[in-house]
Amino acid sequence: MFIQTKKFILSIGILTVVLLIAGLIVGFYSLRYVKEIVSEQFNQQQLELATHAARQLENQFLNTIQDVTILNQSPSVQYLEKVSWANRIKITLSTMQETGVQEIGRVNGSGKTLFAVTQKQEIRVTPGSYRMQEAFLWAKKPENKNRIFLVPDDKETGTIKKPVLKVIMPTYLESADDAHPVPGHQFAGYIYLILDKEYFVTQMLKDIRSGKTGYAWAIDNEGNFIYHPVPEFIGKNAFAVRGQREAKISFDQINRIQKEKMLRGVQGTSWYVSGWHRGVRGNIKKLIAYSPVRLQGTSPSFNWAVAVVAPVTEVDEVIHTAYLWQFIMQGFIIFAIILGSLSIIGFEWQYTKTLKTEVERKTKDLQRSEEQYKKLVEGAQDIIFSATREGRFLSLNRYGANFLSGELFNPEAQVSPGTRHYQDHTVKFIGKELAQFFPLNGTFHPQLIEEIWHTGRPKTIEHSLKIGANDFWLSTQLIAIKDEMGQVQEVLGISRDITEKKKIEKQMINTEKLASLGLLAAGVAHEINNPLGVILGYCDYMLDKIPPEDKVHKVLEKIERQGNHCKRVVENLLSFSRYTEHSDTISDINLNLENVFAVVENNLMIKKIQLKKNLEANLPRVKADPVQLQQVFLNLMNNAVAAMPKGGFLMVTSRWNIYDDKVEVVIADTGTGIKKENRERIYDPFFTTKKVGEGTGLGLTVTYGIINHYQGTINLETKTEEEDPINHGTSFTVTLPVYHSKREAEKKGV
Amino acid sequence: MAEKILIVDDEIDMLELLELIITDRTEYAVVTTNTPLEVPELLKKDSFDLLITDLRMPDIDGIELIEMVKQIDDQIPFIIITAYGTIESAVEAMRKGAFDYITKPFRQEQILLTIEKVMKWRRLQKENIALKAELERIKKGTNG
Repeated sequence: MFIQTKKFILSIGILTVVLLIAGLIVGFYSLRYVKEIVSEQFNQQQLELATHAARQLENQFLNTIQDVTILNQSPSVQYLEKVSWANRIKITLSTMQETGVQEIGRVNGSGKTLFAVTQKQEIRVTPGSYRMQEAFLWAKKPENKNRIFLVPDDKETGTIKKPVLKVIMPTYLESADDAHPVPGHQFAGYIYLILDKEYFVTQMLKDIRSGKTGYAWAIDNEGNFIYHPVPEFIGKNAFAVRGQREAKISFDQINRIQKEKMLRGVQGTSWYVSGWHRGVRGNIKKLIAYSPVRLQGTSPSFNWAVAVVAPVTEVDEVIHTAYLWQFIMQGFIIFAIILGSLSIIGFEWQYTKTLKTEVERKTKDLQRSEEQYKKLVEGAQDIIFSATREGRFLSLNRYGANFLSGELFNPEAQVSPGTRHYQDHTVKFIGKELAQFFPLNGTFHPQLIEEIWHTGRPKTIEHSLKIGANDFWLSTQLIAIKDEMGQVQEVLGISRDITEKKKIEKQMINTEKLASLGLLAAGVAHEINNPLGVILGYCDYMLDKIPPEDKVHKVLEKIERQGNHCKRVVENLLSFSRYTEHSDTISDINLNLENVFAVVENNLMIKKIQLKKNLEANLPRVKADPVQLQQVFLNLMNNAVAAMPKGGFLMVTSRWNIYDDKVEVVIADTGTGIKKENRERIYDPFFTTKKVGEGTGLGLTVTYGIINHYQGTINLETKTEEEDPINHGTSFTVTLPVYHSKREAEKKGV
Repeated sequence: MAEKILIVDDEIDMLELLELIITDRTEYAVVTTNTPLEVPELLKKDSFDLLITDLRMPDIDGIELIEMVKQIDDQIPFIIITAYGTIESAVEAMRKGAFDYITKPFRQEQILLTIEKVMKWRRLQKENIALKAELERIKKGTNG
C-alpha cells in the first residue's frame, strides 16, 4: 500500500517534470513561432512601408518627369527664346527644388550650346560639342521621342562629388506661340535636368521609421547606396562598403538579397545579419523588406530599390515583453507546482517520519505491553496456559510449570527465570497433552476444548487435581482466543488454586449442615425426651413395686438400661445442638490439656502411643467451660488413639496466635488418616467408623457444637496411608478467641 | 385435711405417672389437668398448696400460666418440669417465682424430694400466716 503510494507519487513527479520540460519546449517553439509570425507581420508592415516609399519615389519621379515634359512643351523653352527661356525654367525649377533638382537645361538642336539654370538661379549658356555625346545621340533618334534617358553621373559641388541623375528628354518644336505660329516639328535637341539622387531619395526616405529604430535605405541599379542613414555609405557600393566597415561579419545574405532580388526589381521580405544599427555595433540580425522603384518612361527601364530594415530585437522586444510576462506566469505556475510538490513531498516525508516514529512508538509500546504481559503472565500466581485444538500445551507460565511439576511445594526445586534451565523447565511442557496433567475425570473432559473451539464461548469449571501426594482443587477458565477473522486459534486457560477456598466452602457447608442438624436434633431430642421421661418414670415405678429376685425385675432393668442409653444419646444431641449454659467460666487451656493427659496417659501406654507435648507457656485464657473443653480434648485424643491401633505418636501443641488473638490447640496423630469419602461426614451425628456399640457417632458432633458455641473453629488435615505412605495421619486444630476481661477492654479503650 | 397438688401437663401419660408416684408415695391429694386453660377455673373452685406444671405446652406455655396463676393466688408455690434444652426458660420461671424446677426425664426420688421441700415451705408459710392472724387477734383483744 505504502510502496504503491510511493511509486504513484514518484511517477506523478516524473510526469510533472516531463510536462514541465514539454511545456518549456512548447513555450520555446511557440515563442519561435510567434516570433516568426510577428516578424512576418512586422516585415509585411515594413514591406508596406518600403512599397509605399517606392511608390512615392516613383510618383515623385513621375511628377518631375511631367513637370519636365510640361516645361518641354513650353515654346520659350522649345525655341530657346532669349527673353523668356531662363525665366520659364526658373519657374519650374523653383517648384522642383524640393525634390532635389539641381539644374534644368537645354541643349539646342545643333548640339553646340547648352542653356542651363541652376538651383542658385545662375544662368549658364555654355558652348560645347554636345552633339557627339551619348545623350544627344540618343535624343536625336526619332524612336526616342517622348522617351526619357537617364544618365547617372557625378556632380561636383564644391569639393565633394555627388551622384546625380541626368534626366534627358528629346525636344521637338511642336508648340506654337506668337513668334512661331506654326510649329516645325523638327528635332531641337533635348531638355535635361540634373537630379540630386541622394537628396531626391532622402526627402522621401529619411522620415521612414520601422518600429522604433528601423530605417530605410535605397540602392540604385548599380548597387550603389543612394540613401543610407550612415552618410558615408551614400554613393558607395553596397556590396563592398559593409564589408569594409565590419570585416568580421559575413554579409553574404544581404549581398544575395541585393543581387538576386533588389537589383532584379523584385519585392519581398527577408532577413540578414548586419554589423551595426544606429550606432550600436555588433552582430545584429535584421528584418528587411524591399521594394523596387520603377522609374517610369525611362529607356532602358531603370530601377532602384528601397529597403526598410529593422533589427529583430525590435520584434523580439515586443514579443519578449509579452513572453517575459508569459514566462513569469509560467514561472509562477512552475514555482507553484514545485512548491506544491515540495510541500506534498515534505508533508509526505513529515507524515512518513511521523508514521515512522508512530510505528516505532507503537512497536515500543507493543514490546512494552508484551513485556508487561509476559511479566504479568510469568509473575501470576495462577496456572496460565494455552492449548491447541487437540488439547496440547502451546505455552505455560512459570507458576504453572512449577505447580504441575510439583516443584511449587518444594521451594528448592524452583527455577528462577532467565536461566536456560528455566526455559527448558517451561518448554518441556510444550506439545504435551493436557490430559497428562489435568485428570480427565468428570468436569475436565477431552471434549471440553473441542466444545470451546466450536462455540467460541468461555467456560469455567472446577475440578480436582492430584500432584504427588497432594490433592488440589482448581477453578479453570477456558477462553477461546480468536484471530481477526473470528476463527478460534487457541484456547487460553487460567487455572486458579482454590483448594483453600474449597476447604472453607466445605466448612461453610458443614457449618450450615450442622446448624440445621442441630435444630433438627433439638426438635427430635425434645420429642423423644417426653416419652422417654414417661417410659423411664413408669419403669422406675415398676422397679420399686417388683421384688429384685423376680424375672420381671430383670426385664425392667434391661428396659431401664436401654432407656438410659437413649437418654444419653438425647442429652448428647441436645448438648451439641444448643448450649444453655450461660457460663462465664474462664479456662486455662494448658491446665485442661494436662487434666486430659492424666486421664488418657494409661490408655496411651497400653496402646504403645508416645505423647509429644509442645505447650506454650503463659498462654492467655479463653472463655469456655473447662469441663466442656476437657470433653473436646478427650474426644479428639480418643479418636487419635483409635486411629493408631499399631501405636504411633500423639502430638499435642498449644500456641498463642498473636495476629488473630486466638489460642490454637493442635492434636495430631500418625494414624491411618481419614478416608476421602468420610472426610465430609465426620461431624455428622451418629456417623462413626467404630464397630457397633463402641461409639455413638456423636463425639465429634458434640466437639463441634462446643467449639462453635464459644466462637471457635475446628479444622483438620488428614492423609491416609495410600495418599502418603510416610507422613500419614490426622491433625485437628482447635482455635478459640482469647478472653479479655472488662477491665482490660476498658484499658484498651474498646 | 390432706394438702392438695395441682398438676398441669398436656401429656396424659405424664400426668398419670406423676399422679401415680405422688398418690403412691405421699398422703397428698392430686388434681390433674391436661388443659392449662382450665387452671384458673380450678384455682377459683378449690385451694391448692402446690402447682406442678410442664413448661412446654401447646395452648399456653408455663411462664404465661404462672402469670395467670399469680393474678389469682400470689401465694401458691409451683414447680416447673422442663426438658433438658429449655433451662433458660426454667431460669426465667425461677425469676418469676417458681420454687424449683425438675428436668425431664426425672427419677421418682427426685420429684418426691422436691415436692417434700415445697410442702415444708408451704406449711411454714401457712403457719406464719396463721400466727400473724393470731397476733393481730391478740392485739385486737388486748386493745379491745
